[in-house]
Amino acid sequence: MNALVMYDHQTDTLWSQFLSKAVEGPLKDAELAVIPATQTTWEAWLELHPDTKTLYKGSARQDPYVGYYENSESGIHGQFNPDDRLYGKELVVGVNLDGSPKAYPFSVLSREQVVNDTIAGKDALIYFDAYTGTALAFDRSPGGAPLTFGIEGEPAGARTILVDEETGSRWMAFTGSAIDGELKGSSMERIPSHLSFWFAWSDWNPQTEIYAR
Amino acid sequence: MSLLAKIGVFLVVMLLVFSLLAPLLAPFFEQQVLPRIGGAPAEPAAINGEGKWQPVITEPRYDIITVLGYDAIPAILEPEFVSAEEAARWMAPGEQVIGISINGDHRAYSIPQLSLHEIVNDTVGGKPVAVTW
Repeated sequence: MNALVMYDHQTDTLWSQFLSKAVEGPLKDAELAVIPATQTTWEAWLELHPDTKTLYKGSARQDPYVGYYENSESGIHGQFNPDDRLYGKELVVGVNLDGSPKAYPFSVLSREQVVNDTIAGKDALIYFDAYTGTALAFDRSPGGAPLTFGIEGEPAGARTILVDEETGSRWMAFTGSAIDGELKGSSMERIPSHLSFWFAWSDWNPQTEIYAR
Repeated sequence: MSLLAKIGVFLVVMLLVFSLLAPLLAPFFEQQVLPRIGGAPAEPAAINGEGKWQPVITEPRYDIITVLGYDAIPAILEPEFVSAEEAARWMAPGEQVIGISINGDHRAYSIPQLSLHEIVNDTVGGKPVAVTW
């Protein structure tokens, strides 16, 4: 398995990024809360949040991993539990609720941008925007009862609108906030999800289910 | 050219090639968590409260392999932020970012930039966070 290990300056504990918990040292087994993040393009993020602050970068520098994203290598050490249900470098968005991991391959999501699913008894919405490569998971029961979503018109990046069948309310796909209709003002909570290569997701979650239509 | 001169030129070229490659290779060497080969060692059975034998369930074990030492990839400890207008001068529209929003505080971290540092220690909306990549 291949994933970053971090240390903290205060206690010298070692923390696993993928497990989001301490694996060695004084704080061993302590967990880090996962904060939902949005991996998207700069353009889409700016459209959502024109007042965003941006980490200072200086001049444009190329990502040193560019070649790695495209070749077939699996991390530094290769795969530990090779799982050939998918190509190792296929991107997936993974959700792990109550020990029931499930992976949504980008190849499936690019044909089906909205998935109204149930994961470990929880009503989940997976939304995917192919143009920006943005994959988000929401709790689709914002008021207690599950809502069923579809895209309004054509996908339009950060401006994409979802409509729920139950009330006809209109929701911002990228933020999960209702902007029109009966549920205007409501918002869906994000479900922690993990965007990763298949080889890494399946190494850490060998029992994972794969979503298929 | 004499043989010696040819060898000299060859060595200089190889040195150049390696010095160019080194920064590109650096990100691939870092600390990794690996499973202990062969799984957890056998644990003795234990007696539970009712006096019955039952196996002790051990957590999966991992070996931590140091590929690169501490701070070989320098984490950002005191991140600096700029306005969207200024960032637009060097951010490409299609550049991937990690975006987070806490208490109305919205922040974007360029992924090419994260690849060079892997960790940003930040405080967003009053909450201390580590943005990791």
